[in-house]
Amino acid sequence: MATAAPLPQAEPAYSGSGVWSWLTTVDHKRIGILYGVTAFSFFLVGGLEALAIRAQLMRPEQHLVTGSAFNGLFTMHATTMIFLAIMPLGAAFFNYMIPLMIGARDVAFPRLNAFSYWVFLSGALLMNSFFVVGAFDAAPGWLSQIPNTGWFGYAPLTERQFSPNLAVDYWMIGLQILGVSSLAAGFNFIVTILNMRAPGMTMMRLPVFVWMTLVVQFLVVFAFPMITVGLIFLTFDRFFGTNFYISGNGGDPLLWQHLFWLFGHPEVYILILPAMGIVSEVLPTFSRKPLFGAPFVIFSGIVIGLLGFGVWSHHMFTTGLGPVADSAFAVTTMLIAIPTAVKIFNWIATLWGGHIVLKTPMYFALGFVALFIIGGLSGVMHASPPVDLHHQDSYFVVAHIHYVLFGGSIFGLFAGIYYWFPKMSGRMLDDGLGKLHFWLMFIAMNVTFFPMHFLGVDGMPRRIFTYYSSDGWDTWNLVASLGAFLLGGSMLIFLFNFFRSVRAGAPAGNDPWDAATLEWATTSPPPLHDFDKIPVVTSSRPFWDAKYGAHGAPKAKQEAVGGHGAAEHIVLPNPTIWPLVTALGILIFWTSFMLPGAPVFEVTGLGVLVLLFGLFSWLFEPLE
Amino acid sequence: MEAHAHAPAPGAVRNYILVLCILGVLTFLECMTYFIPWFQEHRQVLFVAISIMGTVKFGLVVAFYMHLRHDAVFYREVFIIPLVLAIVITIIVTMLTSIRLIPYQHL
Amino acid sequence: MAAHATTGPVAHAPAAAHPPTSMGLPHLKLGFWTFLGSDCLFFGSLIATYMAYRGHSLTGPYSHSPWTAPDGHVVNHILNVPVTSISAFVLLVSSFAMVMALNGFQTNNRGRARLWIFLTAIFGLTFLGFQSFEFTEFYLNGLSLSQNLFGSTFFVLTGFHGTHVAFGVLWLLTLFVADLRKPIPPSKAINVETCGLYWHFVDIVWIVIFAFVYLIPVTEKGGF
Repeated sequence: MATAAPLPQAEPAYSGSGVWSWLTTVDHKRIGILYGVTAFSFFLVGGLEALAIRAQLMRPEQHLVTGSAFNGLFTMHATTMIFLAIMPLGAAFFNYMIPLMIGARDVAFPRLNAFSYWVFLSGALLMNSFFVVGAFDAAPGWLSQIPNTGWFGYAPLTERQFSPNLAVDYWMIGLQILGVSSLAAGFNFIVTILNMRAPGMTMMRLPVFVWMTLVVQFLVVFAFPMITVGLIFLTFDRFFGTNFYISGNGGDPLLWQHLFWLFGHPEVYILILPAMGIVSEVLPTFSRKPLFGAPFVIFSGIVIGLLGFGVWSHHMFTTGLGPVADSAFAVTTMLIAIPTAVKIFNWIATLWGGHIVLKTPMYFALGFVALFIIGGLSGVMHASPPVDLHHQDSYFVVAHIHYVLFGGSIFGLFAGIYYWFPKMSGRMLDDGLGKLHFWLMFIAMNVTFFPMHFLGVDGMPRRIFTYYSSDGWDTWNLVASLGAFLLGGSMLIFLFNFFRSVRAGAPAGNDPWDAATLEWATTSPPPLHDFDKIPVVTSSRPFWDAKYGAHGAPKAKQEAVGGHGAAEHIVLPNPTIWPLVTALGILIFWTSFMLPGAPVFEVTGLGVLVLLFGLFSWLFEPLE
Repeated sequence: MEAHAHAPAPGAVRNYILVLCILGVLTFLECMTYFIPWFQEHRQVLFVAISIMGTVKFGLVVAFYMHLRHDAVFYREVFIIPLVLAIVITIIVTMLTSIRLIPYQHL
Repeated sequence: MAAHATTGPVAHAPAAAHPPTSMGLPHLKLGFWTFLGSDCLFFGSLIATYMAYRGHSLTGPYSHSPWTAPDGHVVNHILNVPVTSISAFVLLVSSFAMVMALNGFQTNNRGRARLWIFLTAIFGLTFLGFQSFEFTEFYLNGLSLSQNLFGSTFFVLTGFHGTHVAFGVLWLLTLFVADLRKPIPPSKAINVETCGLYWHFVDIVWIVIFAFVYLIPVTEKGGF
């Protein structure tokens, strides 16, 4: 069947490339790019914070930074990486790819989607504004207001009595704002995935990446309320004198830990499941085989999400909960290893007997599997409370965290970047440089983090800004720091590759990897309306079947993917500034706490007014 | 997007009024437990009674005013699962957060 | 169908341009029920904290027992069950009013729609009035946010509930004014229905709070 003439379609009001078109965009692809660029920038910031940490720890008894500044560095490194890098990098892919993969033209609530991004940016900027305010502070040093109580902000250290300046407030309020962004996106993607699938795309025909995203969004909407409440209590303690975490007045600092980890543990699954989803797309494509046991992989993801709510106190084994609680949580924690292992075996089975194509995305996906196994093994070790008594607050946990979050999430996200860059930009990233980036990063990652297992069992505690030579930790710290600098260098290769390829990379075409899912059935980059015709889906590999038919015989490559039905009058949502204005109102509202000496009521009132003005304008403007 | 105009079932208003009456009676009964000394002395029974009455009120509003009884099953799932999760977490956190350093000293 | 101009807003879509939804459910309701599920966990955490801290206040005023203030005067148990029962009933009546209003919008009965949605807002404001009165009374009797655990947990829990009610009243009045300017047709009644879901949710949260904060007194034997 010859390709039909281009269908008449609506043109967007602003399809230009000026700043205004970016500020008013409601297009999921542009919002995805906004998330991606912002997130990667913060990834680099977090990386610099890590390099500062490793520089300080490279030799014993160094004083490159003060102890207080060091506390700030590890706090912001973790907070930045978790909330401002990994989560929004995932969001970038959710935004760009989910509608394409399910055969939709956008998300369910496009303006809410834009709102999510602008609120994310507000929270990110507010949280990092300590740099600016610190510079104007009477006390010298741009790090004087850096949040420094750990990314987990344990009470009572975070209380006003022990952290009198605004440092904790930046962290606390920034995180609260980021929560709003994540929640809004959560509702949006749940409705999108459930309700906007192309005809014939049943739930079990969804790509695994889409399924993992759905689980993640449910985790977000059910876990974030707990940290919202925890942060509300901390805000009230710090600003209004309540007693939620103050033991002197009957409060229990452990309540914070419960609320935080009730959120925090689902959060780590929020961080890893998208990467697992990406790997579940990349491995089959580059093995030229369907994902082995896809229903099991999906089901395991769901189980991981559910069980993730039952393990939180394994972060609290050393707080004296008692043997009954400890045992219960140990059991649930060990149980979670099972669905995780199921996924790993299915990935390996996907590779088995496949025609392996060793391109850069495949390297990162394979690296993910290997490194995540190591991280999972160390994790299952400290699932045992008596073992955890030794591991807790030692570098052994740091090793575990980084194997799963760097070896896992980051490697998975890079697999996604290399895999989907051609779709998003229309050009290929250089494969040779990509492989160089991979090998450097893989080697450097292991050089940096594997020795931390040894440091941990050798007794090196976390969060210390220096150590004595007599401790015996010199060698491995030096090795880890050298590895960290090599890791930084590997990023430079990626950045060079990225910027060169965006401008002058080889043209990608629609389907450079000969893949199976719907995003490859449209142009690279896709047009504003994504698909000329919404496809009708008859299997879990719709594009593969369209190309090769059910029996593998190749057909004309760019054949329309089974689209039937009358020509569609495509209507797209209008660009609008109101989501940004509403987000700005939220930012102004919270800024009132941040500016020392600011007229609090006036600024808060202004924030509320801007928020309501933006909100009402948004609600009363027609979507399309 | 989709604008479902659910034409309300005939007799719907009568049901709403009936539910309101039951809610009123239950609220009155709940308030009465405060005045009946026997309930105040047997607090375990009071706890059970209040929990039952509260649950019935909760259920009536959810089923008949929020129309969950007649609406899509998915709404029920996406509401009840987090509700159960919240209840379970409440119970566990209450059990785990039991510093009894200076308990009930005022009583 | 000619391509439209590149400037100016796009024409309003005919119904055929929106493909039917995969679950046969409207986006707004699907998303909103999910939001309510999420809000269960929000209030659940607040209530869990209240329950965890019951009976742990180191000083008064107390919820269900008398307390002698430092200056000597005695503050009786500070929660007033009879009065709060009335305000709880007011909120229940407001739920009834809401569902009547929805009925009016769905049947295109302007009088019923406008009257009952306005009444819902009025009942909501009445409830908020009771709350303000109660908060003021408590404050004057020495119960503040910082006084003790009861003050902290009570005011934050009921305060956030009250904030939810206030947003609901704003939403109701917005719908009322919008309908006055241009009647909301039955095809758009889903917007009223969504507001109704929110309003009923706020009501059922109060049912739980009323039961566990007001009606179940703090015992001296431990437990609830």
